[in-house]
Amino acid sequence: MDASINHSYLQEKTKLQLKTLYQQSKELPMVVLAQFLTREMYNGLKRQLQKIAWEKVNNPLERKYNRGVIPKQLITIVESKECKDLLAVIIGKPILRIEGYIYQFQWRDYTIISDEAENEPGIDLFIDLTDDWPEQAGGALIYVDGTGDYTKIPLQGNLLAVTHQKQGIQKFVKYVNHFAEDKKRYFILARIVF
Amino acid sequence: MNDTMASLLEQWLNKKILVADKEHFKIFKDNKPFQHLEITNFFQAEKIADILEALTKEEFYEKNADLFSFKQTQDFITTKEKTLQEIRAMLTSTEFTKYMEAITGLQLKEETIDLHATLYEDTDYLLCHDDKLEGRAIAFIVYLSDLEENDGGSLNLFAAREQKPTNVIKRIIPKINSFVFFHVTPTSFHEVSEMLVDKQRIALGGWFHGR
Repeated sequence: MDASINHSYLQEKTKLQLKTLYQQSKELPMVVLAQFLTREMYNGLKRQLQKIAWEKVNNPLERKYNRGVIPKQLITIVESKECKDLLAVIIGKPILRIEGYIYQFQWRDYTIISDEAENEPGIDLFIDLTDDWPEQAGGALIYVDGTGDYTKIPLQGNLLAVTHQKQGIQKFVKYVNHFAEDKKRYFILARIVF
Repeated sequence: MNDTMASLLEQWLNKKILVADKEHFKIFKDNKPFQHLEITNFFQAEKIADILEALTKEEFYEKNADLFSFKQTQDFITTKEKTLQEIRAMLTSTEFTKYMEAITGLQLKEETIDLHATLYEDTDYLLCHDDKLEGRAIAFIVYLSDLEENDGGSLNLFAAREQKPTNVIKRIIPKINSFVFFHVTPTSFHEVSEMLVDKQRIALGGWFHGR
């Protein structure tokens, strides 16, 4: 598994720096790791996107997108000792596994804040698998606190974000507009299970 | 409709509109997927020009969230523009309230209205929702722009099953000086489709409240 994760993130000094960054915001602890996977592993995962059996989800009042089962290879990486150690340092406790989906968003897809279980407090793991996504097309994962303040996860392929969604914080994926043309946006969004 | 009622409305509305309320009532009541009506050439043309002129002096504020992206003025209750004050006064008048009651068959609260202007530009949208909030009885829009079918920005009305929206079964394309309104209910699901072109979709909008 050493060949999967960017080696810089496996250094003890880096892990501690990431932990500090994560803890900087008390309201929304978050850290973003760019170039998380090695280029070879990232490209390999992207090739697997074509093999995913997508499930169409369409409830106009809440959400519209496709979703699938997270590729086993990615589960193996995240639940590897190296990745678990990294996440444990950042978050401050050992992780067991992740539970979630891989998502495909395209033009006219979105989620709306609702009372679903996904807005319960917990720690999110997000991995962006999309390169060259047009910024003005929407599709970003956004956390809001109900007062108007919001935090947007950067739109960047091979980026991993760990976010502690506390009580009162909600999240949504911004509507994808016509600037997306026929491009598709892929990402993993999962809950960390302790 | 008595003479006093007629005079105020005659200042604002096209004459043909004033005599059609029985016919409008039937169409409103039977329209699908929920009660609504679209009346074209509603106001006298110069009123539309005056409103558009007044709106150039109003501030539009960006509204951006999960559900929507567009711009909106403050409620006209605060406006200093004379034309906008006048249209608000007309829409909240006893005469216009009775006119709307005749068309909709609903009992409306006089002098109670939410009224603002909205502006949708390229990529702006308003996703599916029902408008249901305490007191709201009729949602209305006065379109101040002309759009074509491929421009986006249409008002889309959803069918419903088991109190949830299913699919769009009617699209209303904004035409300048058309007055569109619908009965707000738990199943009055609608959206404004994304604007797809570099045009402006300007409208007055808001809600009449029920008694």
